[in-house]
Amino acid sequence: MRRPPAEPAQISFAFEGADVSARPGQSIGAALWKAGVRQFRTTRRLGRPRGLYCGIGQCFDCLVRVNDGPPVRACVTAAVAGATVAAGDHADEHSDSGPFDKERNDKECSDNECSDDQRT
Amino acid sequence: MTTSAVTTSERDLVVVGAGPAGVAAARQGVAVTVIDGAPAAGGQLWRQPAVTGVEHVRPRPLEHALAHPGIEFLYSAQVVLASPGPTCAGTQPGPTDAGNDGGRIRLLVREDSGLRQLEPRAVVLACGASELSLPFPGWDLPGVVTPGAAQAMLKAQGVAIGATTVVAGTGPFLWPVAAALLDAGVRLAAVVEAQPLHRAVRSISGVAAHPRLAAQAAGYLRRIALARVPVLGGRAVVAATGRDRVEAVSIARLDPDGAPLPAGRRELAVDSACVGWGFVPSVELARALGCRETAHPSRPHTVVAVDDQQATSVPAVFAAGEITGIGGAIVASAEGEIAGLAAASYLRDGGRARAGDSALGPARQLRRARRAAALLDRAYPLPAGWPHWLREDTISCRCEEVRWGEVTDVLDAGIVDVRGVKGQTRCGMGWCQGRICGPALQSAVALRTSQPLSQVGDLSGRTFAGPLTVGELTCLDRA
Repeated sequence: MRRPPAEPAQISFAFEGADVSARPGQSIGAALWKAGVRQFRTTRRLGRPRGLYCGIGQCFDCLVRVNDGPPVRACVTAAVAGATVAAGDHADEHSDSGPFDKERNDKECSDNECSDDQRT
Repeated sequence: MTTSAVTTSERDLVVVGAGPAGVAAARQGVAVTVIDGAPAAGGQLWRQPAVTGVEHVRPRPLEHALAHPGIEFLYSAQVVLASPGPTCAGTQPGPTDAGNDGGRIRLLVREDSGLRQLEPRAVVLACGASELSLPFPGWDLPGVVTPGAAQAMLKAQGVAIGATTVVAGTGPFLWPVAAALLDAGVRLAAVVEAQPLHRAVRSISGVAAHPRLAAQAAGYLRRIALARVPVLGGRAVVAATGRDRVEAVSIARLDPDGAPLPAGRRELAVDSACVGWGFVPSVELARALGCRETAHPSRPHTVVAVDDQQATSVPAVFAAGEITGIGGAIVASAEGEIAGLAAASYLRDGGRARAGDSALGPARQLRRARRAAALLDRAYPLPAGWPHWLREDTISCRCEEVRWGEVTDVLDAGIVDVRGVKGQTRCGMGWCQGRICGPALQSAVALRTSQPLSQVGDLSGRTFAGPLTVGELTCLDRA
């Protein structure tokens, strides 16, 4: 069915099981916000809700996981059609303790988002 | 190189930042690579939409730069490491290093596709600024954002921050954000400016000498007045409350020292709150390259010191825009133009850079715009009593969830500097590396220990200017 011309094209992804629509190029953070989602993750120490704060990739409050990957900043990560996005809870648990996996390591070389001072 | 993903390329000029300053620098006639972390040029001040259907303006200088065949733009790319010599002991030396003493600037750039190393003969740093946050009880509740976040969501993403919001803090940036939110149909419960309104108004009459700024300011104020938004001066948002998102903010009148008064508090029901206290220049790359900095006399940040050619204290490194002092797009454009001309002259002739006669126009414009910027800078100081609105359980460091009480404990135990607090409490040690909590902590430590800001240190030095994985570090090592 053809959409009216004023309506921009939509893609969709899943966040914690719910369907979220986004415009092509839109950040995951903006799409979640538009859908009424304010809590993107829960903090490690105090279990507090967190969402967007700075909106420009500085604060790392808006961490989410895309397709079971490592945490990324929702405000600067474009939405991908069909992706499974999860809350960026317990970001520290994502540590690779198994044998060295070159393919995964190389992948994470390009898409991981960790700071240089992260606790293990 | 065998397994390494890191390639090294030489460049004449690399410009870091594609905002007004970077774009102006890039247009001055040298083969140049412009690096920006965003998916499009424009920076924070000329932010371009990431999605279609968002109304926007593309300023003419940006239009020209994008059409310029000599300018290569690297988007979604971040300089994560800058050094005057090799970036990493294990990195393969570039072909020109034979006979070169390694004095060449190296920039390690991270893109979606991996890492690459650039070895420019000259650099213009136009890294811009981020917003200054001051903590308050409840500022970590979802829905509390910075004014810049609300602006970015609107301009780049076409999403309004809420149905009912409040714009608060201090500084001239609150007005365009408030006006843009109104244009997007958001209800503003109030605009809350910490300075008494007569002082804020005086600053506007001060910029009247600069017609472009004055016209802009008048437009924003007219928009706000037409919408009958209450403008509350001499007050601040001192708390946000809600269960798992912000539902209300508490607004207090400030005493002459900027401490909140208990009487006459008022609550406003909101579904979001945009609170910001001005800007902090992003000096980390300049610091990594060893550029001299100057402390701001009254705000918790430094600026990169430059001469009249926008040259820093380090040869071949120029700086322009917000990192040399917060001044807005007009100052940034003029500084960028001068920096680009001076860098071109440096590349052509070596030695002391001279921007030459073509820089006389921008230099004149710059003097005028800087006067207006200095007026605005002085008109919006941080309220010195701000730490009085903190409670023991207020989050100071959002990443590590350090409470204000933990900070005061170590200060009471005799720690007198920011890095000492960081070491004892982990404040500033998390993902953001002190970007959000650092300047506020510097201010709070100075105020509480009665020392000047320049004596307590800061958290603005970062070996890595952006996230880098352990895997990427090993890529470097295998090179």
